[in-house]
Amino acid sequence: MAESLSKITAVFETAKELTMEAAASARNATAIFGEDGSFRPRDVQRYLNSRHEKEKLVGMKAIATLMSKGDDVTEFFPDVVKNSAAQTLEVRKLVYIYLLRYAQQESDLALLSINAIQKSLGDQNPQIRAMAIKVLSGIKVPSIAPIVLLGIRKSIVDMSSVVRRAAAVAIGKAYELDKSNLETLVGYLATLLGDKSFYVVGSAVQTFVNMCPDRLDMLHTNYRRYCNMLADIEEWGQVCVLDMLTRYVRIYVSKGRMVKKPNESFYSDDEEDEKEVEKEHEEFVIDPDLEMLLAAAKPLLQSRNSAVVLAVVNLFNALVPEADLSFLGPPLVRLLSRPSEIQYVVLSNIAVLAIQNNDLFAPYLKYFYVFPSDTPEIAKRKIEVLTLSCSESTVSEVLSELQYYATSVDKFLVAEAVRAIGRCAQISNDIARRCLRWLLKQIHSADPNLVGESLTVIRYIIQLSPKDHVKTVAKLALALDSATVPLARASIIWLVGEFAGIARYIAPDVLRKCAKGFMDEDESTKLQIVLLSAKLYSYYIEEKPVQEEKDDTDEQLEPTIKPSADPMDLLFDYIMLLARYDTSYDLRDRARLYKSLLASPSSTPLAKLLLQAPKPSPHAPSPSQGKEKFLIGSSGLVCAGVNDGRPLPPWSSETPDASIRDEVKVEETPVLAPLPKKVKTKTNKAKKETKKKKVVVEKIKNVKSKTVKKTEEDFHTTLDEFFGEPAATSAQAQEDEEESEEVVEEEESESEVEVIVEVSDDSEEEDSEEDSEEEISEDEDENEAEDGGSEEESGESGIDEEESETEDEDDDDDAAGRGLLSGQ
Amino acid sequence: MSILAVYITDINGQKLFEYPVSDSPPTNKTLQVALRDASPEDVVLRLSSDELLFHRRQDALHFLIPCTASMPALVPLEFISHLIKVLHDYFQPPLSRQKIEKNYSTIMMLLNEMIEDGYPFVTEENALRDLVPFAGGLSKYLPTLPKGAANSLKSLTSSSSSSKSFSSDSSLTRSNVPWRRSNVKHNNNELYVDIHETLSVIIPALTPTQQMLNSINSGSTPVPSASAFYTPAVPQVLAEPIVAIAHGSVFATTKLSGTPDIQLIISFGNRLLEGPAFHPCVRLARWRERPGTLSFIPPDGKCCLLQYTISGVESGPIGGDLKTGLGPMKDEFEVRVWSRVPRNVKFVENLRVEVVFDGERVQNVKGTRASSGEFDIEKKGVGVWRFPGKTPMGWNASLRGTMVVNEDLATGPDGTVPQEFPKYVKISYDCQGMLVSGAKVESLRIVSGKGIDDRAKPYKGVKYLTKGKDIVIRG
Repeated sequence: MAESLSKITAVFETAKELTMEAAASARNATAIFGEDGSFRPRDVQRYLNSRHEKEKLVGMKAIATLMSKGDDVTEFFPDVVKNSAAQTLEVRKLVYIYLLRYAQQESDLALLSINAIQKSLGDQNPQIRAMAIKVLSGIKVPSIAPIVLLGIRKSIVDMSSVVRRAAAVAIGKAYELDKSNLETLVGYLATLLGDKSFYVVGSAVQTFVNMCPDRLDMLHTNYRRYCNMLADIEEWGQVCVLDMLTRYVRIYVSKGRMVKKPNESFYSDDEEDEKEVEKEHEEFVIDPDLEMLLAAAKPLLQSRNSAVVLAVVNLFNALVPEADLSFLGPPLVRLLSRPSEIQYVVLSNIAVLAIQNNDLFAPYLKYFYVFPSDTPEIAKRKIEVLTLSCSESTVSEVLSELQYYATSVDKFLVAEAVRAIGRCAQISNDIARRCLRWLLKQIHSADPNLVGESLTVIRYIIQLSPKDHVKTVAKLALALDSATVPLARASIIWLVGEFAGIARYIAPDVLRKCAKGFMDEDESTKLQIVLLSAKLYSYYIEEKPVQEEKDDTDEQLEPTIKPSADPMDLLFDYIMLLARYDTSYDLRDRARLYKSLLASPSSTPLAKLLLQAPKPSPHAPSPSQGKEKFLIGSSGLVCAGVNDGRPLPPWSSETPDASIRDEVKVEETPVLAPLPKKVKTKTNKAKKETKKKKVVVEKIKNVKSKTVKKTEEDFHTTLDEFFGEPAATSAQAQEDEEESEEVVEEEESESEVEVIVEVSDDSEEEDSEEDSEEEISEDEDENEAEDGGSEEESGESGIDEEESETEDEDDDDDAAGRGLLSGQ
Repeated sequence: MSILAVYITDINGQKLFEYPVSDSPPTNKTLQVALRDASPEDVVLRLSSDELLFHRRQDALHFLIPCTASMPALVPLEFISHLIKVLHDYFQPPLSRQKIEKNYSTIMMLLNEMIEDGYPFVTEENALRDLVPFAGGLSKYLPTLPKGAANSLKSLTSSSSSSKSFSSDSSLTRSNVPWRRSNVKHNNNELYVDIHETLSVIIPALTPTQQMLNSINSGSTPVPSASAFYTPAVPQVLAEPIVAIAHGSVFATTKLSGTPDIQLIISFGNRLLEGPAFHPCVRLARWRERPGTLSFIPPDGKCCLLQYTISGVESGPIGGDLKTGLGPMKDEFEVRVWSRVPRNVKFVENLRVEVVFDGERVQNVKGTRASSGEFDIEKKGVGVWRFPGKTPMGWNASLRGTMVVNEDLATGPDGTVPQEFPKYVKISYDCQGMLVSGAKVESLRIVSGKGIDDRAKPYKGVKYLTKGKDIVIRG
């Protein structure tokens, strides 16, 4: 009883404490932020300088709030920097974010924090080491560039892939900090590009793309490895790797070509994809290395990330456009279920693909039917794809759909649909006739928008082959009797005038009819009637030179009009007269212009030029025409007028032998810059790593003899990478060699790196000694666990041994993840 | 190739949050000017020849990401999707101004992990949970701590451990599976599966022949339209849908300790999934061996395992049609909706029928008679017929009315005023318990799961949901 009572008391005590704490923190928050959200700088400072971690956190959160609002918080710099070695992770992270943003402005004060950060580089927790290298490289103070280099150098050989990944990013930032270090950094990057962990490779490639995108020669020995690990790289990294491999292939791998011997297939594992063109014994043959890439990239079409899907599509489109790419359709169509922003970008890309290959989306026409909920931009692209993808067999289906849109309420949709119908008309003469028939019907519509668009398209169709369309002009003239929309009447009259040259008997009659109802017409129509009369008159005087003599036969006309034998004269004069007394200035002016122009024979050539000049036929390409020059997925394709980066390199005519891609030791290539001077701590660390590795090797030996061989080999590689020496010598020899070098180099480096290195050296040595022990044991465990895991995996999912081997080499890597995915 | 900044504003463009990535990114003011000049649908805006703005609206917030022009267009847009997912995970949907303002420091730390060197870095919710303190812990409980809450004390003390010194913090060790956070522990092991399908259908207007058939034998023999449904006697001849597409997503909500390995088998009948997309955790080899098999180690919490698209599905549990030119004056229209009777489904929810007409020409809708539900003109050109609550199956309703035409605008060629009718009818609803594709969970097995009691049965079942989003019946 008493026991339980004391328990309850204890519980209440805790509860009380917690409540007090809560109350205190609540008070804190309101203390800094008054009711109106304002803050008192002095309070923030007090909290930042507090001894209690909790109060520091309150202070840092206040800073974070101010930063997020966009306020200037540089005044707190000294108070914040003091906390760069704070015990609480959250505080430290917030301090780091602060430093990343403001260090540039207070570079002197920022240097105060460098020591603490450098110390964290040797922390036993990989997350903290990663954080440290991230902050170190992100502080934009040029004077610390050498320290950053040193930090990176240490991190690229870190046991943890988390740290190596952070180092990969840091390399890019170090380059921005001091571009003169390019060669050194490229050397570091080469190490990481050859990293065993797919976790690191993605970020390394991202840095590569930003820092030295033209050094594609660095990828020779990595090419096949990347193909193998492509599926495991995280999605953002995949986007970069796919783009880079596309460029690589253009330069270093030969283009696929038609070969007469049919003994190779496009996809070795998939007979259906075999490409047969024209003659049976001709076949599309591609380089085995390219084939490897294509086979590796194809499954990524199933990525949930649409950016990856488009990167794969770009790869196929850029490298094997001749091949059967029908498998690209479904993944792209599936993306139409994504948010409208993504839909829009995907549709823009689909439209460009459809221009290049009309058949690609033909089986998926239904996905491009417009729903009322689609935004205008999406609807526009859908209509374009529908138009581009329809063939003679599907055109009637598409046309009836387009006709439905053309009669909808949405003005935008109407315009797009009618134009699309015009584009469909180009498929064949039969379809053109069908389109024309339907368009002519629309002239009677009450929707001026539809009428206007229809007439524009009719004009376009006629202009494509005027000779075939004399009847159409006649029909148009007939339609004039019933058309009521002024715009329609004006357009028809203009069209009749334009084609007066080919349909000689229609135009004068139209003019006669129009003259009768001139008074009731809209002004725009009157203008067109005047123009028509002028056009006809110019044809008339051209053929029959104006006769000087005129008969006085027509008595109905006013005396001002010169009587004439030909009705054309009469009509023209009549209309000029009507226009002269019209209320519109514009109309009167024009009438005067035409009249004087046509009055004297001397200006006839000028009049002819003015009135009969053939108008350029309205150009009606598909809206996305011309965008083919952009890469699939690039921003330039969806937004005009931007400089969207580098175009793909052209296929190179001469490619080096495929053997350059054999996986030899990276270090032997001249690409690698000599590593900078080594520091003592570094070497110690390396030796410790060596020991650790040995333990690992021992461990594995017991488990799998086959594995050991490989591990040892790769172990050399890691060391070799590190020392920049060929892999010929054994690990032991390597180590000895290194020790002898060390003494000389130590001196050099000491003088170069100066004070800060001195400070950090001690601490680092301490740290690394401590954690090396711990890490050894940790490492053993991990390897054990992994080994077990991979065995299980290989037993279960039938993954071959090679893959489980690579797992073993990976220090801490995602055993489960890799195992699962490598089956892809 | 770089993201320059992340801004979150409210829908009026007032800045709530900023996270500059580059040294001098375009300011929110610049972006707002660009947005004002563009049409609201423009997804990608040009700021200069080297800078672009990508943006998206979500939950009354507006996410703006200015980028350099060399960025592939979908990277920032997908990044916004991921960011929204992460914010939903941390702060629960829907997001609001208040949630952003309360959590500045957390959002800042999240973005610090999510963007590195101007490019997306760690974007998995689970991985981020290991890196950024989850605000759902202490701060969530404190304000609501009841006076004698001895029960909640236990959870309180355990969650407060996260604020201790980090050197002992176990959450810092990275998980072996990149998408799963480390050291997951749950007292109650639970596992749910949700399959959602969003249905889009276009039903064309009846052809003249079909209309004639309808008028001849009105009200008699129903024509069977969809095999899985029994159709009540309302419709006669129905137009076949020209488009019927279902977009499906399979979600797993796992609250399982340790590292469970799960196998989920879904049968899709003989239907063809167009380009399915998978969460990285799904073993693709297994799917290839036997389509429908999802074998995976799930991330903790909710995740979308599979997205698929199926075309040519049935037109769903709700049917409808639109007739025009009825009544003595031939000026009436009639909209009918009915629910079919599929197995295992008792009702649909949130049924809503939009009657869309030409808002320019039609002044009003007069003499509406609805057999049930309420009909109002919601805005220009759109009348909404609502059925609040649950609508039972095997039910039908009809709506009749006449459009009043604005005579000033709509004079026809011969001086008469053509009668206006609805342009189309759009139906939307939620229907639980069925999938329009007929997909079904066949089995779910936890292949291995350390830390889960053998006797425990974590699998709590599956929920099916068909969302009728765009059921369009053309007039």
